[in-house]
Amino acid sequence: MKRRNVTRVHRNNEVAVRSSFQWRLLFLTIICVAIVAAGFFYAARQHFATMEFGLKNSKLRKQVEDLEAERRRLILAKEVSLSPVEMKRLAQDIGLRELAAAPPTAAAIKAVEPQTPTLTSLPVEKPSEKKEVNPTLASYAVEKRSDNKAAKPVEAKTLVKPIVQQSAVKIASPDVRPRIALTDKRVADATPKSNSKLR
Amino acid sequence: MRPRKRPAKKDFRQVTFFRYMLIVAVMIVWIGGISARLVYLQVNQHEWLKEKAASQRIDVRQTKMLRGTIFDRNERALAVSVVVKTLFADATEIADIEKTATELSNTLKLNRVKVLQQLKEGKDLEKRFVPIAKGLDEETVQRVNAALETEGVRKGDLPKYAGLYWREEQKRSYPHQSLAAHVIGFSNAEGVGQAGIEQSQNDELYGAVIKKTQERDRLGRVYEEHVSEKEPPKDVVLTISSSIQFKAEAALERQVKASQARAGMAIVLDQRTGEILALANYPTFDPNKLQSITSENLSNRCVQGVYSPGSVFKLVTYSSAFEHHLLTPDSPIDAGDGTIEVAGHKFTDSHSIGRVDATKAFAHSSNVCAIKTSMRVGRDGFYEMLQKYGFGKQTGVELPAETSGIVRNPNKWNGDSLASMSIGYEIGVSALQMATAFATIANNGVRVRPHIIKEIRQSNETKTFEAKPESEQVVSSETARDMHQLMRAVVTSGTGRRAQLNGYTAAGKTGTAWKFDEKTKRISAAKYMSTFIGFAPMNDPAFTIAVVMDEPKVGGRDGGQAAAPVFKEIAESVLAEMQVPFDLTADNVAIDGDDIPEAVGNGVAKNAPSSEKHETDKSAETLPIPKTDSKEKKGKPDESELKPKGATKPKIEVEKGLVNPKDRFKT
Repeated sequence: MKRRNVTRVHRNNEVAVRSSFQWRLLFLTIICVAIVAAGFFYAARQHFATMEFGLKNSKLRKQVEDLEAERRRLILAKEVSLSPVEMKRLAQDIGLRELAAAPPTAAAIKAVEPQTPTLTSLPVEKPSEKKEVNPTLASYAVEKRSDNKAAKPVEAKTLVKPIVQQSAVKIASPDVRPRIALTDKRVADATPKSNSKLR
Repeated sequence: MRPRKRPAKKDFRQVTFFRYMLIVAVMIVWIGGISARLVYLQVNQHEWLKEKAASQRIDVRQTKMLRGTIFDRNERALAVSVVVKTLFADATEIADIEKTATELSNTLKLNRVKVLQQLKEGKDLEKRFVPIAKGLDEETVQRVNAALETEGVRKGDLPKYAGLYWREEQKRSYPHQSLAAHVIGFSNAEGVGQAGIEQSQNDELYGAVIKKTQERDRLGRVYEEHVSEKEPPKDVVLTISSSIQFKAEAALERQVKASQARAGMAIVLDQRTGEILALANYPTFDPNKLQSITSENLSNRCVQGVYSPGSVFKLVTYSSAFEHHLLTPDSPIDAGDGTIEVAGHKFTDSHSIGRVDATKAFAHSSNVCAIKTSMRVGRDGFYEMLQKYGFGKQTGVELPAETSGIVRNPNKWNGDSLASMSIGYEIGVSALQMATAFATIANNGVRVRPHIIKEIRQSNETKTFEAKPESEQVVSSETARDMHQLMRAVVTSGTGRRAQLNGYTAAGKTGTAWKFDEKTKRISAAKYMSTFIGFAPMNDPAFTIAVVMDEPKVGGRDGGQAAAPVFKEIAESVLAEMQVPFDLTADNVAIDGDDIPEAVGNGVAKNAPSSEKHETDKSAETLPIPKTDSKEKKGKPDESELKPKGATKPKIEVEKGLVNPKDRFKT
């Protein structure tokens, strides 16, 4: 009897101690598992997000490459269609013929009446708006040499209107964008000062 | 009866411990086994497994960056690389070859038998790359993808058809075909430049290899990509204007065909900036069709060809005399009966002009007057001027294989060398060198180095190079203006009347020279190099144009007849395009009259049959060096030389006794 009582008391004490320890352990375990699970969950989410971004990035990169290739293809197509050779071929296809370059002679130039304006739309000076003409070689010769045999300033010369001026202007350059007929003002504006004529 | 012995009661703890240890042992063995296996796999088979995993997941693709674009000055693309695709089959992956061949032939309009044969051969030899169709554009690719799409095929790439794949390639295209072909050049199938700017700027234009490492998921979709690329290629912007180039080429082609010439060259140069606006050669080629290229049409004669310039070289002679104040445009020179003998070498004019001023002598291209003028300048002065103009040196234009020409050192000159050189013989020049010399005069004596590259830039528009050509005053502006006057007279009343423009003043010089015959190793009086170089308008030149016709056969063969019309055609169309106002007045139009024949040839050396040997031949470099002293006439001209001598032959005993005529042509 005495022995049993001792044991019972002992066991009761043991159970009480063990019971309190297990609850704490369980609680800690659950926390740890929750943390680990959350970590795994977070990592997985990050991983799949990365994968998703990667896929999108890859598609966008491909799109950029395709667009660049398309841009180049369009540039090529534009250049081919604007190429003088191609334009000439197409013009011939629709029945246009190349103008035979009529060789205008010096006689033809001289034959033109200097005072008679033949082509009003051409860059011809108005008589009232005489431009300053640079001293020519002849006038230079006057300055330089005492024997001024050849000295003959040509400042006030009237421009000759060559008979082929119109055809010269009509020559269409593939580089030159469509222009409106040249008015006097436009002609004056277009008068090149230096080689800014060339873009 | 002996009571049965009760079995010994096992200790519960002992049993628990035993069982626990048993489980631990099993676990140790199990984990140990796994660990050993893992160690084996990860240590011993690490590389193999890594490669296998990578091959399943990682895809490494190597492509080439698109080669840089070549633009003209107006941003018109002259050479562009585009992406094209090749459809290829991995024959080992195709199960039903017959069906695949049928579908491919239907989609791509190919010969079914050929496709089947290709696939069968590939299957037998286990080929993983059997090209089916090459160089397909994006439109065709999309059509093929749509047509070949098969359900149930799990592939990350298009086309969705087992065993078929696309491979990206690049193709170099020249949209303007033969336009400026000699300037642009071409590149080969590997994308390496072989001629022209493509060759000289290959390092800038070259499309480096791009290595792409792609990681793919189980469906083959790329989810990560590492791109390792080198510096991207650059774009090159030229000074060429495609419009002016087209006009120059068209005019040149017409004249070459009309005169049945062997070849033709034309250069349009902006003398102020040194920019080459057009550089045309005929015959030419289409860089899109490499099979059309031959040795005859490939050479860029404008910068690679050397020839004797003939009378256009008198520009150097007269400008030297003006620069040294030995002559003025009005100074009289006596051409006598049109012949002159120098160191046993007889030079002649085409016609006798008697005593004339320098302007007329230049306009009529008198050899005698030019030789007399050069004698006044002397060999040192003349050689100094040659060097100042840049003869004997490369111009530095950014085109491959540029020639430096042939200019011998004065200590290798013969007794008649100065006379020959003064009329454009015994010297080798390129068309670009001559054009640059005339551009110098047009630019008031300032020589600007010619160049053909305007800028080089990255694809992001950042300029990495911008042309800033150096300039040098070669002759004074007074000399240049005197030369303008002389050159104007050539067009108005001299040998170059056919260069007179409608509405514009032009100035220039004709040149007609005998050619060196490679077969006979002598100059041939039957083969000409006809030249006209000039600029317009005269007072404010917009450009300088050089036209050289190689061996014109039909019609007039002089520079004034064969080359001047090309100058006229190009100049008139380009001036109109540039909207340059007309400047021709009634007083400065050309004088009517017949063509004035030009003096051709380098004369004849007495007692020396080999005298016809062309002095610009490279063998001329080996000529014996004549012992001369420096007793040449310098300073003011000898008045006796300028006196009219009527019909008597003006014989100048230059360096008399210093050169043995018999030794002059020894080789």
